[in-house]
Amino acid sequence: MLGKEVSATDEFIKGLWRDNPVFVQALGLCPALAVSNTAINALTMGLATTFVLLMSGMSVSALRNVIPREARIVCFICIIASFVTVVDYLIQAIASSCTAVLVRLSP
Amino acid sequence: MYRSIVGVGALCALLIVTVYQTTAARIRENQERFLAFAVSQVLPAAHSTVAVTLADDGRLVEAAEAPALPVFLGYDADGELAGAVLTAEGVGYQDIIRVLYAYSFELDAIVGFMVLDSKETPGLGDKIETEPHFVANFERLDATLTSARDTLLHPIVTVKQGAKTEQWQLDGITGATITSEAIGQILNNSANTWVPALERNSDAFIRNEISEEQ
Repeated sequence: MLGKEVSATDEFIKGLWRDNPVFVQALGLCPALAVSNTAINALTMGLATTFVLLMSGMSVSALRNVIPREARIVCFICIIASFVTVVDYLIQAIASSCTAVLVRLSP
Repeated sequence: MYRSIVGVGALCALLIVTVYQTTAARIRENQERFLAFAVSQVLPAAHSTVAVTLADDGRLVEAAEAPALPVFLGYDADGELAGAVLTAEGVGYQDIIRVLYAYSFELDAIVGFMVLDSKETPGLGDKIETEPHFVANFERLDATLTSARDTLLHPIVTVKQGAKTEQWQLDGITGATITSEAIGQILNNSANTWVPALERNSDAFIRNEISEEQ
């Protein structure tokens, strides 16, 4: 990337702390606050977010070179929305008690 | 450009359909289990339940298949009719709210309430499930019928928080006006249809032995 050396630990810490989507970028604060009212809900929410970020990150990196610049945002939104839907179905299938709360977040 | 959009769209659609197909059975199972649990919560006296539906001639019959809004009659340990548990739905602030409520034949009142599904604003609209004074409405919410027994004597209405004076009024929630009013309307609509039908037919269902010809 721009010829600069990127260490894995550095990237990891960046995502976890310096550029944390919730704390630093203040993204998704509303669902994060509304759902983390109990430990189990917060944990489920955390796992769901991790799953969506990881899977969409992987898909986007894999498809990055075949998607033209103009169609970038459309495609990435589509990918992220799909994983959100997938995680919603998975949660409903796995944990019935969390569903009541988490279902409200899915767009 | 279009090719990549269509391609990504098709991939995403395939992914969603696959996950939906694999999880659909489990999700339905979970929902049924949750419904059974909810029924036992709103009508704790019920040891066994029978799903019923309204026939074309206005009589109550045992439901052959689960309708979209199931109605159950609950029987206590001795097989005596303990009450009815009804599902109802209506438009809330964000989306459709589905609720479950229990009707007591003895008290002519709604005696239990639970939200099955809602997408109301977290922290405001979803207080209908937790706010103590709102939940207290359902200890005994009057649903007496008129002397003609075809409609509710007093429609169930939501009033402003703290303005409840009558047994058929719902003490609303400040900050969740639309949601609490929606609950009043949902209950009123459903009770107006079902309570007369239940009362008219309850004699035939007084014990948990339903004859086949019905």
